[in-house]
Amino acid sequence: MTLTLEQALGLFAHSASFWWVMIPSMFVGLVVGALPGFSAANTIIVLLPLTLALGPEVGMIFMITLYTSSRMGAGLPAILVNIPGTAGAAATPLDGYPMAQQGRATQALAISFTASCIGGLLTTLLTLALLPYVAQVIYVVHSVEMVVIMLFGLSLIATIAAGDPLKGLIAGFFGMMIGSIGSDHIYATPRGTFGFLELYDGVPVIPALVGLFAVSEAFLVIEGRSILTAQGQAMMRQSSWREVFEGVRETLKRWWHVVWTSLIGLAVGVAPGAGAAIASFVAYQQSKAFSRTPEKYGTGHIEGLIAPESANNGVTAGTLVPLLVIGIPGGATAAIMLVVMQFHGMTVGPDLFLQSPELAYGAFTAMAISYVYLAIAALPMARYSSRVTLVSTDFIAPLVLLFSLVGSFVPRAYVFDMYLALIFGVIGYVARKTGYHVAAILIGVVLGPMFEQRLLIVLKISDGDLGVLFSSRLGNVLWVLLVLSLAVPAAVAWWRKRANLREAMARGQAAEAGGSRE
Amino acid sequence: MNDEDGGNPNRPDLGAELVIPLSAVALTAYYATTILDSPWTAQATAAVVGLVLVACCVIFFVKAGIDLAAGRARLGIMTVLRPLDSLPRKAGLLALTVAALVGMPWLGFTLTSVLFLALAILLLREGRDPFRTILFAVGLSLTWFIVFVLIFKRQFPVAWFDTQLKTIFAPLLALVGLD
Repeated sequence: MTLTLEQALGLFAHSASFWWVMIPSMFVGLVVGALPGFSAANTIIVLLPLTLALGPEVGMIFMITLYTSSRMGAGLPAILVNIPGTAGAAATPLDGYPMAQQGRATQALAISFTASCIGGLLTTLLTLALLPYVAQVIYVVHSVEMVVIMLFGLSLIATIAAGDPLKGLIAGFFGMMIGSIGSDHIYATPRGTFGFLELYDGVPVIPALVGLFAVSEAFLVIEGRSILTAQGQAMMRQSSWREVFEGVRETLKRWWHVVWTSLIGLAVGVAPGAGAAIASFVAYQQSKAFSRTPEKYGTGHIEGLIAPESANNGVTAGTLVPLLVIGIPGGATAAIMLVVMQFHGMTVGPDLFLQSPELAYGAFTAMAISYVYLAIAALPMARYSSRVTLVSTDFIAPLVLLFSLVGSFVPRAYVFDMYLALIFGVIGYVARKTGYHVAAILIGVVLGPMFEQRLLIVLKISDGDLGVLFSSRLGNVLWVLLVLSLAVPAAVAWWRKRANLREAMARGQAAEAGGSRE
Repeated sequence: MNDEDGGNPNRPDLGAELVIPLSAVALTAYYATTILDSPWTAQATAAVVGLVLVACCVIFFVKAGIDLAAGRARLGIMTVLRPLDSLPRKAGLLALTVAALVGMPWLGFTLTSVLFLALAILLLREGRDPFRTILFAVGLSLTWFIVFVLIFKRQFPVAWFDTQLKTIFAPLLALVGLD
């Protein structure tokens, strides 16, 4: 599974020659990514007749470009109107939307796109170069390790709750309780479903996502005539290409942040069953935990936007690894890719790299090229799509509501899901008005069931012995890292607080001494 | 803002802040009743999550009780309703949303979208510029019909209006190979 430089360059040139497929599918991907409920997976399903007719190589390039661009497109409404297009972009509005409200939407979009492109490109090239080693992750990450990885994501609840720990914990565990609704993962016993058959598969993520963020936002924005602050409106009217380049520059200045958060995405993406939502939450939590200015997160902080965007694009290359190396799809889109490849008579697995290297390696080179094309298309998009924030809320609120309801209907085609989105909207509205963080509720809803599933598998295998959670070497390393990532920032904050207090006391004593001398 | 028009902002309205913990406790209690006779795999995680959640809520209730007894807070819900001048707009928009959801199975996706968008925008703009608003609602709903129903073939609730639209657009779709 190794490739010479000459072969690699040849493959890149070969992939770039498919621009006629990549550019149209890139725009389709950006649009479907931005529409809540429309994922790359169901768009590929809709366009399956076309994909199957294209032939294996063109079909694969089409699917990969659609996948990468839809991942990037999901950040667009998350930043502009606080509607994450997919669960993978759920951490994006935490800092992206406050930036938009401050009139920095153009800069925020440029940062998001740049971080996405660099993160995606870097992890794709890294995967291509180190494929045999990256593929090892599949064999060492099992349910025990996944339980700890998910705890990394869930610990974001505690990080978010820093301002008001009790409310944060209530919101997070309330979300986990909601996430526990549905049949249990082993015996399919229905739990807390209120008698609704539609909830037997659990609470669907998209209605929860659009309800908590978008529906509640629609009712909040009509309190004013604009989603922007007065200062933000003035800034947005003067917005120009300068903000775009400023965004690119700010991201490049933080290149190391992009690198390590995208690597988190890659590592999570390679593990089958994990996804962009976990990656972006983990990256955001880690970014905040090791930041020198954690208090700025959630207020429109650039690093808080870079982390989830580079991580969820780091996932894309990772998802292809289990699919191409061992023939196990790591997610819904990869599963459809597998179907298409099997339709064309391709056997996915190690043999593919020997029999059809242009297809196996070509998948990664096409992904890398698609990020290059995306980088070119994204900057004008950042410049002009940010103008959406200037539209009056009289138009935005009904549009957001209708989009949200349609988006919540699309994945399962249940009218019930639209009602569910509205209920989540009411929960989100009350939560936001009373100081409970909707992101904490969402993390519980999204990660809670995944965590439960993995934990139950572990406990079932070990006959209920919790000690199994500490039985793997990698798992134990992850446990230590988890404890460190929670304890170190808390210790640093305590130390800083103590130092500040000492300084203030010393200053007070000095002033007192000065006063008594006078 | 004084007590007459919505309460004293210096004394937090704890009634509003209690909505989420009370809902959480109610959900946990209901959930517990549904897993009493279930195997341990169905109970394990939910029991742990439920216990922690209830414990957090109880601490919150105790803190709230102390604040109420000390007069530092009041049992109002005005935090959720403020600012009061936007309340009619919010109530109207909520009523229209519920009406759209209830009416969609009978009116179909497209007509519901047109009516919801037009009425909601007119409500928020206090009836200004009705012609352009209706034109905007019709144009957008038709675009969505073409994208979601015709191209992406999503199974939205359809009624007479949608069926007629499908008949009108069928020859056009056939022409571009999307039938």
